[in-house]
Amino acid sequence: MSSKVVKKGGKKWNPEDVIQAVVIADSFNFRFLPLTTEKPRALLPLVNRPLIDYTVEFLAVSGIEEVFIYCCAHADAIKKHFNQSRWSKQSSPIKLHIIMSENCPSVGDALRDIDSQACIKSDFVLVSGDLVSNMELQEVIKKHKKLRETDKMTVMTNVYKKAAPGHRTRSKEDDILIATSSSSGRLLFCEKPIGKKKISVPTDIFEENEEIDIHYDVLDCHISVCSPNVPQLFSDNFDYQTRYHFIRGIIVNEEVLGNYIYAHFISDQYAARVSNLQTYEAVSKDVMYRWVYPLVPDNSILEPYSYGRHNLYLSSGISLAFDCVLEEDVVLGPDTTVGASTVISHSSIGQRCNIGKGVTISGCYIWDDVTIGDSCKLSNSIIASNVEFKDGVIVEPGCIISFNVVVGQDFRVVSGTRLTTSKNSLSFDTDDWGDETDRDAEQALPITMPECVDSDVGCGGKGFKWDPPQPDSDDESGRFIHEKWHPHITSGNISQESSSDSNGTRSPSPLPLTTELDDAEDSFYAETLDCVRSGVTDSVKPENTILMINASKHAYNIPIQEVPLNVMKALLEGPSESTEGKKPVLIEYIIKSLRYHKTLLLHYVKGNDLQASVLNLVTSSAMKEYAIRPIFAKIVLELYNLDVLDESTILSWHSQFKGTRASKEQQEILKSVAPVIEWLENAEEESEEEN
Amino acid sequence: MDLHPVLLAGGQASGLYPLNEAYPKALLPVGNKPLLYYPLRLLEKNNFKEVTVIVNSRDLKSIKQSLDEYPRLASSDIEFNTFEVHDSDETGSAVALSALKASGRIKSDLLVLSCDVLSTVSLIQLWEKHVTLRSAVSLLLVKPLPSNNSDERQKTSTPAFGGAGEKDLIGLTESGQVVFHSSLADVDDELKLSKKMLQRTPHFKMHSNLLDSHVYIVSRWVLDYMQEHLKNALSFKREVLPHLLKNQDSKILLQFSERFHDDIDKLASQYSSSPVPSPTQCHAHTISGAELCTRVNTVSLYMEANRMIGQHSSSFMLDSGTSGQGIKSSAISGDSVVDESTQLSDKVSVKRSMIGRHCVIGEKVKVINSVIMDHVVIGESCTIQNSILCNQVRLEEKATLKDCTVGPRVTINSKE
Repeated sequence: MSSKVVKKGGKKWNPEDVIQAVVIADSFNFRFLPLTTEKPRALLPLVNRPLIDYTVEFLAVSGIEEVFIYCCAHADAIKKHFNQSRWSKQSSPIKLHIIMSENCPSVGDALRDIDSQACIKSDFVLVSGDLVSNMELQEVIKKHKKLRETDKMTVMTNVYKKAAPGHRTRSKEDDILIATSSSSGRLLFCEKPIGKKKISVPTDIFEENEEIDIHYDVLDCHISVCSPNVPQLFSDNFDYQTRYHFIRGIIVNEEVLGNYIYAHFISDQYAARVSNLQTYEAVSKDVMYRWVYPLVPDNSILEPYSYGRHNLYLSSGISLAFDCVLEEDVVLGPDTTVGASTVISHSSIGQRCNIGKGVTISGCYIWDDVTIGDSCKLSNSIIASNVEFKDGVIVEPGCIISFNVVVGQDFRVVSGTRLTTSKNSLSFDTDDWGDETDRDAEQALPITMPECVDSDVGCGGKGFKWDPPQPDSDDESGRFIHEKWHPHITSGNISQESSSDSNGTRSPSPLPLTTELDDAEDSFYAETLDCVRSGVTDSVKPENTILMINASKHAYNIPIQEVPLNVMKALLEGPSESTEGKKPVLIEYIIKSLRYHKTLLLHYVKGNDLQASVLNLVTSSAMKEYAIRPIFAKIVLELYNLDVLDESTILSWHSQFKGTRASKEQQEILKSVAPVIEWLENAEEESEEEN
Repeated sequence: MDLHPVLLAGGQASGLYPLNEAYPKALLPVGNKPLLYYPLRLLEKNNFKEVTVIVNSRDLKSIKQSLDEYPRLASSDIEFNTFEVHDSDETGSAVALSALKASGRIKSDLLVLSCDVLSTVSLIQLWEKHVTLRSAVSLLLVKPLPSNNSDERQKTSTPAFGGAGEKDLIGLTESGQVVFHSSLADVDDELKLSKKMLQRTPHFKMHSNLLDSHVYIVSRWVLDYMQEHLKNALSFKREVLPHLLKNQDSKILLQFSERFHDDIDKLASQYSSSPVPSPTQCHAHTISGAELCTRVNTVSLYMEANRMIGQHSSSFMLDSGTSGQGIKSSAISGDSVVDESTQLSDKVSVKRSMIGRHCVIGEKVKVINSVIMDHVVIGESCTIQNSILCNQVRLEEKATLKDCTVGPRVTINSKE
C-alpha cells in the first residue's frame, strides 16, 4: 500500500528500516467490569504500574522505533497518560503516535482505520495493550524478514509460548490448538476449542504435509509480526473482526489469496496477556516472582523499589509499624503506612495506602490511596483506588471492589462480589443491555440508582453491587463471557483450576492420570441418553432401542453390568435441557419414559444384584439432584409396579439405613419413601398370611 | 530377546489381486523365493530359534511344504510350529492371536510379524525400547529416505499399479509414544481429535510419511485384554491398535497391565527419579529408510520388492540362484533373477526382472522390469515391459505387453 515513501534525510537512512509497532489499547470486551468503566484496561495498574507501560517498555527494549497506540474507550485518559510519561519526552527512544477513535468495535476495524491513515511503511509488530513480555522480539522480526525474502506471500509470523494445558497464564477463552508444518513452521490450522469435546482438523493438510506438529501446549501471545499489507487485507475483507478471524481466513483461503502465516515458538522467555482476572492474578505473581525480568519493580526508573529476600519490594516513604509482618511476595508502593500486628502476604499495594492495625491481607491487589481500617481481613481480591474499608471488614476471595467504594464497619463482602459506585457502568455501550445491568439485572429499573445500598456495602458504606450481564447467546465472539474468578477457593477442585493456584512453583501441574475417565464410558452414556430420549419422543420400538444400545455397548466395549445403570441414569436425566425441570412436568416425563421403556428395563435389569445397584443409583442421584428428591418415592413405586424392582430388593435396600445415622438428604428420601415401604411390608405380611 | 515370534501367514492379500489367485500371499515368489522366507530370514538374523507360523487351514499344506524346504535353502536350524486357524469369513490377525493365546502357548511377550515384511533390520533397538518403556505395544516404523528415493519410487511405480500402497497417519510424541494410528484412507474429511487426548499429550507430530512395517511387539497382558474386552475385533492393526491407543493410561488397561508387572517393577517406578511412563502406553521405534524395510501389500509394492531383491539379494543372504543356464547369447543383467529350471532360447534379453521355475522363453524375447512366475510360456519376439505374468500364462508370438498384470492361466493371443 504505502510502498512509495518520501525519503527523509540522507540516502543511507531508509524509512523502511524503521520498525513500527501497533498497539491495540482496547480489548473490545468487558471482562474487567466494573473496573473498566472508570479506567481503561490499558491503564489498570499491575504491580503498581499501568499495564500499557509494560507493553511500551517491552517494545522500546526490543528496538522498536515508532509505536502507534490505537485507543477507543477512555482514549483521552490514555492520551493524557502518555503525555505525562517519559515516552513523550525528547529523550524517549521511541516515537509515540496516539490514534484515537470513538467508535471502533473490533481489532479488525482498528486495522482498517490504520490502513486508511496509511502510516504503516514496513513490517510491523502487532500487539495488544495488555501484553507483558520480555521475549526477544528482534529474533521474530528477523525470522519474519527472512521468510519474506524466501516467500513473498508471508503475511504474518505469530508468537506462541509453550504452556501446558492448565498453565496459569493460559486464559480459558484463549485456549488454542494449532497445527504447523514441521519442516517449514507454517501455520496450517488454528482453532479455539472452547466448549468442544472434539476438534476437527481437515484431513487434506495431512495429505499435503509429511510431518505436522499438533500443538495444544501453547498460548497465543497475541504478538504478531505483520507484513505491510496486513491492514490492507483487513480492508479488503471487511468481515474480519478479530485477529483470530484474520488468521482463520488466511489459512482457509490460503489457495485463493496465496498468503501464508508462520509460527514462532518461545519456551524460556516470558509473554502473557492480561486478558481476564485470572491472568491478571497470574501475571502479577509472575512480575513479583521476577519471571518477567527486567520488567520488575526494582528496575523501574520512576519509582525505585528496594528488593529484599522473599520477594519483598519496598518503595520509599513507607512507614511500617514495629510488629507488622510482611511474609513473602509483597510490593508496597511509596508513602504507604502499615499498622501494628498487620500481616501481609502475596499482595501488591499501591501508593499512599493506609493500612490499619491487626489487618490480614493475602493475595490481594490493592491500588492507590486505599484506606483499610483496623482488623480487616482481605483475601484474593482486587481493590481499586480510593476504596475505604471501615474497621473489621471481611472481604472473601474473588471480589472486585471498584473505585471510591466505601465498605461499612464489620461488613462481610461475600465471595465473588463486585462493588462499584459508578452509575453508568456501561457508558460506552448502552444500546442493548446497558440500562439493565444495574444493581438488579432482572428488573430493568429506569429510576435513578440509589447512592448506596446498605445491604451491599454495609452501614455507612458507599456503592452498590454490580452483576455481570447475562451472556448473550447470539454473540459469537464470546466477549461477554464472564467466568467466575475464583483464585484460591477452588483448591478442592481437580486439575485445571488448581494449577492456577500458585504456591511459587511455576511448573505446570501434570494432569492426574487416575481421575481420567474413559472416553468410551462418556460416549456410551451420551448415546444411551440419546436413545432413551428419542425413544420416547419419536416412539421408537423398544426392541430397536435395545438393539441400538447393544450396538453402542459393543462399540464402546462396556461391560454388561454397566448397561442397566447407564440406562437408568439416562432415564432419570429427564427431558433434554430445553425444557425446564419443573416438578410436575419432570415426574410426568420420567413416569412416562419409565413406562415406555419397560421392556428395555426388564431386558437389562435381571437378578437381584442388578436390581440393588439400580436402586442405589436412583438413591444417589436423588441425593445429588434437588429435582429428583421429592419424586423419589414415585419413581421407586413405578419401578416396583413395572416389575423392574422386587419388593425384597426394596425392603433390603431400606433395611440398610436402619441403625445408621442418616444425612439430611437421606432422611428426606427415607421420609418420602416411608409410605411405600409401609405398604410393601403390609403386602408382604398379607401374602404370608395367605400362605 | 525374550520374545515369542509369531508370523502371520494366513492373510488374504486382497490388495494383491490378481496375484493372490496364483498363490497364497505367503508363497508369492519374490526373487524366486516364497515371500514367507524373508520374515523368517529376518528372525533368523535376529537370533530367534523358534517361530510360530499362523496359517490358514486352506493354505496349510502348501505352506508346510514350503517351510520344509526352507532349512535346505537357507541352511538354517530355525524351528517351526505351525498354528492352524480355520478359514472362515471371520479370520483376522486379532482372531488368530486370540486363538493362539487360548491355546496356552504364549509364555512371553509376542513379536508379531506380517508375512510380507522384507527387511534386514536389527530388532534389538525395538526390543530395548519395549522393555525400558514398558510399552503395551511397540511398533517399528520406517521413515523413507527423503527426496531421491521417493523420486525414484514415483518414477518406477507406474500408475498402472496404483499408488505406492496405503499411507498411514501416525501421531508420535517426542518420546516416541504413539498417540494416533490410522490409515489415511480411513480418515474422513476431518480428523477428530478429542480434547482429553490433547490434554494428555498436548504436543505431538502427525506423520503421513512413515510406514508401519507390521512388526509389533505385543505385551502378554494385551492378549488377555483382547480376550476379555475385544472379542469381536478382527484385525489387530485396524481395531485392536486404535482401541489401545485411544485408551492409553485408562484405568481398565492399567489393571490388566499390572497383573503382569511384578512388584519389583512397581517399586522401581515408584522410587525412580525419572518418570516411568504408564505401562499402558504404546511406543514406536523409527528407523530411517537407509535400512531396507518394505512391505508387499499392493501390486506395485510387489513389483518394487522384486526389483529390490534383485539389487540387494546379498543382504538377504538367500541364494538367489541366478543363472544363465543354457544359451550364452542371452543377456541377463546382474539385477535379474532367473530360475535354473527355466529354458531360455537364443537372443533373450532380461533386465531388472525375475523369471520363475519351468518357464519356456522363446527367441528374441525382451523382458524388462517385469516379474514372470512359474510355468509361463512366452513365444518368439515378445516384449514384456513393466508387467507381471502369473503362473501358466501363455503368450503367443510377437506379443507386446506394457504395464500389465496378467492373472494365472491366461492365454494371450497375439493375432486378434
